[in-house]
Amino acid sequence: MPAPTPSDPAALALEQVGKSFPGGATALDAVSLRVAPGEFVALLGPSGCGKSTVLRLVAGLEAPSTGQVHTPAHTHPGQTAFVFQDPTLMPWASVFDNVWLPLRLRGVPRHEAAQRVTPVLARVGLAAFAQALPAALSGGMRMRASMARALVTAPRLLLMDEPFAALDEITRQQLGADLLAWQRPAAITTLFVTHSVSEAVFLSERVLVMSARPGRVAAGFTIEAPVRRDAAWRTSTAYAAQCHRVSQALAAACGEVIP
Amino acid sequence: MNAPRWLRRGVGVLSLAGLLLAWEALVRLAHIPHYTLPAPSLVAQTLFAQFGSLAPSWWFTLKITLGALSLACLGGVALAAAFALFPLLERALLPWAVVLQVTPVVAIAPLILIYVESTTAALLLCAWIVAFFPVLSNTLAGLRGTDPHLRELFRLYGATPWQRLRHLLAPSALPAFLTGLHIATGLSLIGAVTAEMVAGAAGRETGLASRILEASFRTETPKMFAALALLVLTGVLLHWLTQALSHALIGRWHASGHPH
Repeated sequence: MPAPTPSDPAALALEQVGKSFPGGATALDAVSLRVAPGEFVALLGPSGCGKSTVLRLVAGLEAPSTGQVHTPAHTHPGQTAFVFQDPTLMPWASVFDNVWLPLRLRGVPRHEAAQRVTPVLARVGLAAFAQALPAALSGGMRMRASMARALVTAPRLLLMDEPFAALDEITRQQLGADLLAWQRPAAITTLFVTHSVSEAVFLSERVLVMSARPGRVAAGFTIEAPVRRDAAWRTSTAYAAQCHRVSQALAAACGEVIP
Repeated sequence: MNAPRWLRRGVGVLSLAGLLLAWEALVRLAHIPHYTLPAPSLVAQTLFAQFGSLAPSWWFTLKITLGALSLACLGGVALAAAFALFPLLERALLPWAVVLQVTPVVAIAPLILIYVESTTAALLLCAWIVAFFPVLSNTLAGLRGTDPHLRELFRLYGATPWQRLRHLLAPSALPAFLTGLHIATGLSLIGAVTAEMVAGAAGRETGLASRILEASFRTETPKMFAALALLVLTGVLLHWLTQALSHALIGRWHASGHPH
């Protein structure tokens, strides 16, 4: 039975969603959230708060125990892209073949796919590495390949599960900037899971803070930022102040007391 | 510190040559009679002189070995795929596979020889029994070890079962399958020879095991060694071939594909 479609097909919504796993663990308890079409929302929380579970529900990889999930993954299958924390590349396949995969599974042959794969690889800076195997790439380059694979299908919905968590700070900032340069003009609805306050504030238009055991949305912040989010924005007092507010909410969600 | 390249490459050959030289010297200096221990030179001589009579037996043993290996690959991979698809089937059949694996082939070979009329088919069956389990268990482990995130990615992109098999499961399980194949190659040769030892030298078509038994009855020790040398060479050759196959198929991306 198809879920009732929200007014815009790219919008996604969770209504009073609970999720418990066999064995009795309750991962989520009555989570409600909405993401507007084209919006970039960061889901921030301590480990074990169920933020990855939210992402998997939105992707359609899990079904909710209670409540309702309205997601383009159901209404427009094939227009959702998922980026995992690890690059999740096929080690036996070249960078080109890895990025080709989503198109290949739809039956697009290699020569046709090249018209789409090659420009995407050029944009993420991997044009010279199309024939390289993942093992020959650095961690940052592998994540670029993973992002290229997510973006080659021009998705409406982009789900990212701590994609930059394993990278060094410089690479992380570069990839964040690259992600924005891609996401904003194309207005891809993005749900970005992270445990980094600075990353959440830098990238997103809205930050949702989750608390743990069972997981629920504890606080929400709309980020005030210039259109161009650059190094100047990263060092501004406005940025620092918002990071501070979000940090406090996160600490409260973790049950800590800030003196 | 690493040994120089020529030494690393040649050290295996050197140790083998050293052993053969010591053996040759021992036999000559201690005047050991050839029916007790023939010198390597005499074994080589015998091998050349008797090659005409040994060759058909060698070919027979090789046929049984490769036949059993092919069937082990087919059966092992098919069963592993079925187990991966239907876990209930694994619960039903895996105990039998384990029973076959832990039962010494020497102990069941006489029974198989009673029930299977054709000796060739019986030998094939014995060799298959020892060879198929490593293919099954390794391939199954390879299929199970497929990256769960890649599985989800394939689900997310709506891959068909065939696409999942072709583009994800088969390449993921390939290194483990090749490990199984490598083990099974040695085992199928062992199985072929062991079963023939039990079957005894009978019938027109006989393998190297029968030649060894015959030579033993006639105290033709050099011929026993010659047949044994042929078996060893066959085993080493098959070992190299599977290693080369691994290297060709997965050497570029998997550590186990590199030659040792």
